[in-house]
Amino acid sequence: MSDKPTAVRVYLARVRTSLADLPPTEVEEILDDVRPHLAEIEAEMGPGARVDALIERLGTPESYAAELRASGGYPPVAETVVAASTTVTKSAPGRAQPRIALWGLVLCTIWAGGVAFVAGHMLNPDVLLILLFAAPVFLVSIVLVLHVGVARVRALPEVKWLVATLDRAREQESAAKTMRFLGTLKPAWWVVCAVALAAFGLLLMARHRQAVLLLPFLIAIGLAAVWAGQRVRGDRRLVWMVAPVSAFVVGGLFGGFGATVDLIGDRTPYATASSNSPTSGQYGNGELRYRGSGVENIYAFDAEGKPLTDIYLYDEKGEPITLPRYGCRTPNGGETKSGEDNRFPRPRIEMTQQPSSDAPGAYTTYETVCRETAGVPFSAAIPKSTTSSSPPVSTTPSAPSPTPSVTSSAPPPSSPSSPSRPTPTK
Amino acid sequence: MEISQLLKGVLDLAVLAVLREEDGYGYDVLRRLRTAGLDEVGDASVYGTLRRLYKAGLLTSYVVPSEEGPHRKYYSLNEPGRLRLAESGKTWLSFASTMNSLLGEAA
Repeated sequence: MSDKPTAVRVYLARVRTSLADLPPTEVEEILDDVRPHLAEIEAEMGPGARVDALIERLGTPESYAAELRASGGYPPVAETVVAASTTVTKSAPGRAQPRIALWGLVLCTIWAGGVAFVAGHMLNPDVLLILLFAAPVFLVSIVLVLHVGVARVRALPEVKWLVATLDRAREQESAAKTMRFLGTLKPAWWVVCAVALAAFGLLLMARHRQAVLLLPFLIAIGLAAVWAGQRVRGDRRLVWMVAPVSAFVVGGLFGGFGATVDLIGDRTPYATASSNSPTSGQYGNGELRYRGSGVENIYAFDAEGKPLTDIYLYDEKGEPITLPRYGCRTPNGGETKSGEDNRFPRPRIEMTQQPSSDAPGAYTTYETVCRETAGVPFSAAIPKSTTSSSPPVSTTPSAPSPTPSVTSSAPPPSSPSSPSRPTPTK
Repeated sequence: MEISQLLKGVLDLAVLAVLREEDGYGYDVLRRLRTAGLDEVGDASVYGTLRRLYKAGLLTSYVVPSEEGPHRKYYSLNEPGRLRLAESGKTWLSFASTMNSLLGEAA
């Protein structure tokens, strides 16, 4: 059989649409009886048969369906399917409630999916509170569908169009195969929902303790989805439950997937830190911090206030305090990382704008010049009372070390190790 | 008199009757009825009747895959179906003989 819609398939699809208000399993049974007959007729008439030829032989699909109803003891077509399409004027006011019920469901489903996506992405249970915004819409939708019944919702033109489209697809071989395959996955899907909801709850709980309140809630919804998923074919009202839950799970899975991708993406590229960001130390480069901000260079002075060059720093475990070293990229391309060591102080790196030497004509063009400057940019007045180990009261006679001077007029330094006031030499 | 009018009352009995000897799928049943002379019977009516008898518990069904074309769902008469056939058959025969004698007098 080819995939293109033959006359028989079109005919069957129209019969199916006319029986849309009957239980779907029953409609399948009926069509199973009818199909071999129509296939026979098709074989008789050849593959090029037109729907008109079938209608000439069997009557319209709609009258065929009506005959099936009458002889099969099914409820007549009048009150549901046909009523909505033929008596537009009469049913117009009656459509408002089913329509609100339907679109409320659609809205809540989209909302649930979106919120779950964001919550999964940010792994933040507080986001789930946004779900409550949709709660009134959802409640109204449920109340209405329980009030007017699913049949009225199914009679809406938009739903009939959707059902008819699906029916037409079902009569096509390839689409039907896909749908049957998806159909076999359904029970598994509800289990996936339950597992995903429980996992989501556990994950949130791991991140935020207060989410422990959510966990039983999510598990209950998961179990309810498994329960309702089995029965939704028989009771379409359960769609109001399984559709938002499914959307929530799909959104959460996609969000969680996105979060995972972000997490992996964050880790890797910074391992070889970019060269021109000296302070980007948090991803593996060593960084010195003092009072909350990064320290890029260290200047040391001896007791006389003489700056020390070429000192090597170690921590209390004897590990070198190794920081990335930056230098000028030759000849004048800006600064670049040139290595890592624990030697201080580092030469200062200055970027200056200089008139370009080879500038043609009247325009003076400027170029950025990178210059490394050794030396100490400031001098430090070391307070005289910094003899580390000897308190002022101790009377050590003739100590060779620098002693606290009696003439020291400087106020007692609050922090003896720091230069009291750096005065730039430039 | 329209035969289709008469058929309405006895289609159940006719369908049960053609399934008495041999199981058949929907189109089989239709063909057997036609072959037996019930030309007026409507296609859809037969399929609807089969479903109704099945739901009433008088028929059982099983599916047989078909090499070419769609699978076929066979119906067979079960014990309640046979009882019903016997019962309704008796009713019909007595009704028919009543009608016959009635018409015999009138003719």
